[in-house]
Amino acid sequence: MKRIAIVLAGLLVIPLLAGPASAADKASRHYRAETSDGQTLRFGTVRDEDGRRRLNSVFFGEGFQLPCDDGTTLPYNGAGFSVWPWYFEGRTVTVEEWQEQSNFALHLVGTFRPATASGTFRYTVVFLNEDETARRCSTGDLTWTAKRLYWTPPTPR
Amino acid sequence: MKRIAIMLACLLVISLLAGPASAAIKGVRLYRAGTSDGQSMRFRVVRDERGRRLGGVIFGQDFQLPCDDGTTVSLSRGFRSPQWFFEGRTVTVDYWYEQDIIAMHIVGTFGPATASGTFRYTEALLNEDETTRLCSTGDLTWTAERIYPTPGTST
Repeated sequence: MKRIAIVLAGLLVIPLLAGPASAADKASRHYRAETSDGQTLRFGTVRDEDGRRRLNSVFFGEGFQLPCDDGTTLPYNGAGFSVWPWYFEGRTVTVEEWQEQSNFALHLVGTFRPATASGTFRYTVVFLNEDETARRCSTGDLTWTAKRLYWTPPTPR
Repeated sequence: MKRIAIMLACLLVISLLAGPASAAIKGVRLYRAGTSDGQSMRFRVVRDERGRRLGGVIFGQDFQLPCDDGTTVSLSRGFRSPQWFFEGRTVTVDYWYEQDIIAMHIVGTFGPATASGTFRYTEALLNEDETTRLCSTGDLTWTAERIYPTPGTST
């Protein structure tokens, strides 16, 4: 059921991303990344109560287009992941998200510093066309660099 | 106190299910179907204030879905909907699910004791090497008989 986790951001209103500053807000950081194909991603990190930092959210940025193998592109603005147990080892987090009988794979490596971050990214997903053939869409292997946002960004729409 | 209340509630449910009233749950009919590829499914037909509808489809135990690479995947899931209404004795379902990765098509004609129809279920999956895998029952036919819930039967 992790598929469900790929949701439109409108359905995933994270309390951490809104409202006045709280202890949780202070423990969270937001980054805006530019990918090697000129698109944007948003990352959120958070420090849990036990002191461990994890990558809390990954969202596709405004206007993000996911290229598909049939030559089309899929608007992916606002889709993303949140509240997954992707814990850091030092400053680096590695995400290898794929499961048997799932329709997506997410690969991400990121090194997050206080003000900047950088890493690699690949997201692949398969859909059914109306004629019930499969359509595979993938970012391909991207690199990204990010800057920390010192304000709380709105949840992507 | 809460535990006692739960136990009493359980006993009440069990006694209700065990009595004569368990022969049928009002407004619900269950059908067990055999498909043309030898597998089984169950259908749940509901009649309520909004009309008669197909309330759920449950794949049989160890239902296998053939894939285009020669493998099969197990389907242990079912689907429910409040919107699959009958027209006369026939219900038609054209269902796309979970961001267009699952398609399910059902046509069923349900009588008081038997039912029959067609079925196709297709699912797109991503393999570990990130190639696609398309799994589908293909176009099946099915025939079904009504079954009667007994204590412990999921309806």
